[in-house]
Amino acid sequence: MPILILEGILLVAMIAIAIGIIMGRKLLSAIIIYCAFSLTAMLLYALIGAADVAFTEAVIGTISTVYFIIAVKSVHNRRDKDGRKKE
Amino acid sequence: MEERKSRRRLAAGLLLVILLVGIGAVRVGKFLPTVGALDTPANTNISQYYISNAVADTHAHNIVTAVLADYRGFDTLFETCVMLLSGVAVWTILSAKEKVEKRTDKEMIAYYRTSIFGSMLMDGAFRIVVPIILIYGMYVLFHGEISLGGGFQAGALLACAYMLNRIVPKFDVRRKQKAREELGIITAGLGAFFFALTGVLPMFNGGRFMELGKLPFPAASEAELHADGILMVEIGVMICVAGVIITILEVVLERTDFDD
Amino acid sequence: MTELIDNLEYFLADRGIYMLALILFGISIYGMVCCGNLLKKLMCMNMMQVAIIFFFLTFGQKEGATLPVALAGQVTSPDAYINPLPHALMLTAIVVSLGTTGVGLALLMRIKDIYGTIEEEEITGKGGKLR
Repeated sequence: MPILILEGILLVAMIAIAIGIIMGRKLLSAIIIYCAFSLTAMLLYALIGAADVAFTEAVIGTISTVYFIIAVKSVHNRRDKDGRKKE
Repeated sequence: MEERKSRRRLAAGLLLVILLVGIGAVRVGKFLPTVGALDTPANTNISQYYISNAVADTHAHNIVTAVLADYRGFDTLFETCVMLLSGVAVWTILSAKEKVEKRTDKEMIAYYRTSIFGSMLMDGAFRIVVPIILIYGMYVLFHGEISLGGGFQAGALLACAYMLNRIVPKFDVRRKQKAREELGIITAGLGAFFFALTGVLPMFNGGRFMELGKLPFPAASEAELHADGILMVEIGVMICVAGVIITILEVVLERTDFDD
Repeated sequence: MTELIDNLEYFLADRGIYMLALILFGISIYGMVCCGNLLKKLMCMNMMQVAIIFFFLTFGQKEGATLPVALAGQVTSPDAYINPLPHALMLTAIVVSLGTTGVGLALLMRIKDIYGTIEEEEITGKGGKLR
């Protein structure tokens, strides 16, 4: 069953991506790497025959990446508590 | 200096975790089944019944959909309720405080005039994509029994189309934001209600809750009724999921300004 | 060479896949505990969910089986199709994970409103300017 070796390769790639997310410095780049993580997970699901789950993961991964980007944008905006703009 | 030290500590911790978990997981193989074996407990008991009888029982060729919407309808009902509850929770948490100051109409119009991708071509290109995504979502919904797909995916796709339409372009400037998120949560509630109603309908015909074979519709056979019931369940799930995703998006977007 | 590949496959099927999934799980837990940033903690939670979902899905695998989409007279033996039960369970789990992500983001934004930051060290006052 050579599928198992492919699974192992994808899992190792996912572990590497996870380390990249944890060790990374910038928040936005971590989110983009998270998108890659979700894509790899989708490939893994499709590989082991769970096509429905892979489909769901593809759509949901996109949506959660958008959520994270919006959240980062809102957390790092340049207004302080009173709504004034910082320099 | 300080940062570098903490980063090195983080890396050392990661290495330690990998080593420890790896060593510990070597022993896992003793009491977990071999991957791909046919005689494991998960593959021998009830799942064989599902595979052998799903098509004859429900006329749904996709066995996953049959299990999801018919055999395990209770699971799906309560998962849908969890989804609705999470939408309500987000709406409650984030509408507690006053928002960032609203811009005036003049500012809004000036902002919406600027193009996002930098060229008119790219700005227009997404408008072709949106209706295609909508059609694909409908296809996924109505072919959920026959091929891959189902209510969850269709709802997420519809929400994707809405998201694309909401974030990228700049038309309908003046519609109020508040109405949108309330509309989203109401839609989600209606979807969950539709699902529960599908469960209640068989009780008028002498059946039990979620017994889809006793729906009060005219149909040729019991399996046809099951197929109708699965479609209704999936429509409910789709509406609920799309509504919740749109609600979360709107509520979170309201706190964000894309000034800089 | 073929012997090496055979040995590797045997090892992976016996315990290697579970080991890798557990290592992913452990790394994500470590990230949830030790990352300073709250948004990164949320991402690590999502990664942990992916590890758990994959662990569940491995139970449904069958050697030489095909996707669980069948025609009426076609089903001869149940062993010819992949087990659909873990798929149906995990499908809902993925969608619910989006809901938990949304609630987490909402709480994160409230924290940002109140404390003005999402770095854990600055919130608890260790070495931050917010003391």
